[in-house]
Amino acid sequence: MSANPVQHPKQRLYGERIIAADETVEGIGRTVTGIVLAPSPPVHWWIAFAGACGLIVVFAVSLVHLWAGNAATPVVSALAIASYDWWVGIAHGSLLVSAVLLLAGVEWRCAVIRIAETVALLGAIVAGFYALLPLGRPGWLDPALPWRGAVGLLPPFGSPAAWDATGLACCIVVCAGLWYVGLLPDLATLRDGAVEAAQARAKGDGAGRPPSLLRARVFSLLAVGWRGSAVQWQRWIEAYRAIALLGALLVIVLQAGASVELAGSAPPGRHDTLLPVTLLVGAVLSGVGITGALIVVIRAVYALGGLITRRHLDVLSRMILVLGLASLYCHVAETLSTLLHGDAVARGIVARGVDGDLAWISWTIVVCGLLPVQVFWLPRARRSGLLIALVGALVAIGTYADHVMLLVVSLQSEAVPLPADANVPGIGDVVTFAGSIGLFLALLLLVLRSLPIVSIAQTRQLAIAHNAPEATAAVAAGPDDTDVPIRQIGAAFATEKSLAAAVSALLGRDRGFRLDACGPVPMPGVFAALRPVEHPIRRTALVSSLAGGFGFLALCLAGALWLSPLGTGARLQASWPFFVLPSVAVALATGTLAILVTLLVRSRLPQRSTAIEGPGFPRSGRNRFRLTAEIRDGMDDAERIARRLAGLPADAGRPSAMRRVPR
Amino acid sequence: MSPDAHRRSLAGARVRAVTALPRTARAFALDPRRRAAVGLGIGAAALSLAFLLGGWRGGMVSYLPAWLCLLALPAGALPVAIMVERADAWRPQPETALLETLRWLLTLMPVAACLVLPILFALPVLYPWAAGAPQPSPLAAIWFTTPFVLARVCIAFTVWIALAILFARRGGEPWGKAGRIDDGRAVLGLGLHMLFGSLMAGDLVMAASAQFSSSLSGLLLMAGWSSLALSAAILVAPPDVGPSRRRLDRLTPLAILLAIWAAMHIVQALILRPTDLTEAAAWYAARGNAGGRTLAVFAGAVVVLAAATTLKPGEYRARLVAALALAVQMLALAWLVTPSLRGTFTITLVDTLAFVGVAGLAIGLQPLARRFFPGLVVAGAAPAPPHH
Repeated sequence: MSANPVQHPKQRLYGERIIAADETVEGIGRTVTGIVLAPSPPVHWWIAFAGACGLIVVFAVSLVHLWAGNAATPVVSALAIASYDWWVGIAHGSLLVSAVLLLAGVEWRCAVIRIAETVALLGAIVAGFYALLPLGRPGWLDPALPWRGAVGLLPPFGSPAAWDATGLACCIVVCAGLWYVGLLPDLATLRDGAVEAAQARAKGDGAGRPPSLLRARVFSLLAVGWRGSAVQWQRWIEAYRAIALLGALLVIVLQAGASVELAGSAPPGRHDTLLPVTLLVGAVLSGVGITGALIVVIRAVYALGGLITRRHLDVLSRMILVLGLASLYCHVAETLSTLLHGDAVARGIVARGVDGDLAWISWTIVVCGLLPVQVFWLPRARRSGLLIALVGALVAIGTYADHVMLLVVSLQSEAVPLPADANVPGIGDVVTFAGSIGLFLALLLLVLRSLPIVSIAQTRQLAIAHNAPEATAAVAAGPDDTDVPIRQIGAAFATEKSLAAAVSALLGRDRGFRLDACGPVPMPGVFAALRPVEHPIRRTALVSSLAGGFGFLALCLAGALWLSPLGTGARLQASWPFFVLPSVAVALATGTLAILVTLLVRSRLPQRSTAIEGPGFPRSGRNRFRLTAEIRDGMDDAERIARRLAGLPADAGRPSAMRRVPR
Repeated sequence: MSPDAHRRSLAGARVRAVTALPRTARAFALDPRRRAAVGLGIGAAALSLAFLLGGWRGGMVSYLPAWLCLLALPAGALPVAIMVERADAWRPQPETALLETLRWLLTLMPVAACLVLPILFALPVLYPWAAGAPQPSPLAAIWFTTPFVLARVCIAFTVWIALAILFARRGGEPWGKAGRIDDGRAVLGLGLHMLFGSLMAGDLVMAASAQFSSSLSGLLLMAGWSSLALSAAILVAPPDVGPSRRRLDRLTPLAILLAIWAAMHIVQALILRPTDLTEAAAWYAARGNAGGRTLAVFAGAVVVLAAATTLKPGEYRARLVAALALAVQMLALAWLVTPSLRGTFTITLVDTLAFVGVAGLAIGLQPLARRFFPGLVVAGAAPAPPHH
């Protein structure tokens, strides 16, 4: 791949670079870990965190009000459901976008995919709290658990509440799995950075307050001994992509299930067959909008313009424009279909939305959700961070209004037997929603403070692919400590290509060597040279998914048969279709967990890392690729390896540094 | 005479002997110079027989799904060609025979526009609104009137022909265009196609039913059209050679399209069937006979087969799945319209004759369409550039 930024066709796309020319493997690690390992966060962080905590306090007050004052009365508020659905939509949209970008191998995702994954996970968590906490009464979990009945009469297996609870739990599991697998190599980089900072401080050459030992230990614990070996990287790629595929499937299943659940329900105004597409497009649009707004803010506050370039802004705005056009299509098609073929109630809702009591909701959808994205037809607008943040926030507001129109308005019909004021937004709804935003922001700020918000490993891949190689000082490969027994020989290389050539040269003559190759990025060339015997992770994922899905289905069927006093074959025949969607969701979550466990077990994690250290020998994980050869036959073997490595051509496998490790 | 010279003279004599053989009927029909005339003759004969057997109404009821299959080739190829072109722009790739075939299918758009004329003449026979059936809403009473429908159909085909001319040309050339990528062309093409595809789905397909309509029908029909066009392209496209061979995975996009199409069908059925919408129940009841259920099972099996075959792709497997998918999509188009006009889903001899007739007319009219629209002539593939 050419290193010339002018000649490379991919870099000429849209006339912007995908990564700044001066970004290097070591520089990226320093920049991103510097945000986390800084002695104290910037002032902006404290201000934002205080604001978020203030909103959480409001949330807590509303909870106390619910528990203490209204525990005996039922909570009937479609606005709460709209808010819950909005958060779920953001989570689903972000998860789908990050999964599709990862599966498609889109290069520019590298710098922004972590933010999308974080939004997905936090959105799902906030939706979970939103769904559970305001209920605040004994037995509030009953509708959500299919194996418990509210009064022991009819287990609510077919209840949408059970679907939602299962789906949301599975969504959190898959989001967390995708997020953690992507984070794993970066946690190792953080661990190394924290330990080095602590050591430098102990030697007296560090400035400021060092990261605490506890923090280094936590990073070490979370990184589970990741070393960055070629085999680990290969499994990591496979696991990451497999979980992304499961995540994309989960979003489609859950969105389709929720839409069918809504469209098939009694209230009028929901029976449109385009509703599943509208909801999916709206979810992705709100997810991309929120993610885009956060990307712009994070880029500006942490000065990440070299990693998140104007090219990223351009692509994000194009995505928002295309999704906005798709949303426009859905709204126009639904409205036209209603006016042409809809019943009187549906046409009445459209008329009220144009010039009636619902006009403020309809026009909010148009003004916030559909019109602002059209500004991205202008090339200059697509490069403006301020506009992207503004439009991203506006489309999220528009999507919220869309949920209100769908859920609240349809429940305000005469066909639904609820009190007239049951679905009128009250102060409690507003403070609860504000509290949920505070919870999201507080969690996001904590993530920003404690974990790398830009994927170090993936942006390093970009730097290696697009930028000129870093200058590395060559270290003479001469014999040292030759009079003591040798346990290992370590060799450092400037590029993956050199490391792969060295591995091929060593294994080409004698496959009995035990070699271990490590590096800061995935190394498919080195993995191919090592030729280890590997079983694909996806097979484990498939088997586990099937087992989990069928197991959950069997649990539900058994419950329908035996737990219900009305448990008969007829009941089973009528109810089994309701179990299918939750079972698919559980299957996908089980597959995610199985992939995670397989990744860790096959990589023999957790373990203690055994880095070769020493004067003149650079650590891998910064800008070097490292080869370790285990010595079994004493000095002859060690010298044979050392001579063979030193005898390789300078541009085809000769290490830039070598070190012998005594027994 | 040397052995080589002797072998050459023998080969020459064999060639002369072959060319001197009397031409068979098949060879006569396949001769490119006579293909158009033969197609026109067969098409006219088959359609005449169809109208003779089925009468004016029965013939038109069979003509409509046959014409929809023809329209599906260029209208379905359009978004797929745009998406492939865009994907090539993101990641520069050599041109493939599949993309060339999709572009060739676009040249059928003027033919489809020409063959829509009988349907426009037979509006009262095919569409209840044109026969004076009551309209469900005030807007529908204006929307479904002959002048408005004719205007929409004319505009739709004008736009579609313009888009076909735009995208039938080799405009991709990502390696040549890198640095001046024009996403506007793709967004414009897809947007206009979605708009007019949805309108035509309502005007020419769903309107065949008196009461029932589904707002998903536009996307559903466009997904079916694209599956049909891609299946046909996979079936007839020659294997790639050179650097393009790296992109042999033709089945994955077809499997994705089929999955989307099937998912939309399932979602629509799940939404409509449990509700008390009598029109929807009647619409599904007309299609729920043994033939309809068999088609549903067959279609589901093909979708699963397509997904499973992507795990172990191969040229012949891809062609087999494409042939099955093509059959499913053609039957599905008939499933959409004929039960609304006949009350049940059946495939008759008249349907088959109408299909042969429309296919023959399309073959016969294509050279004429190319003469009137020179922009539709697809240029030959350029030499493949070095792979990045």
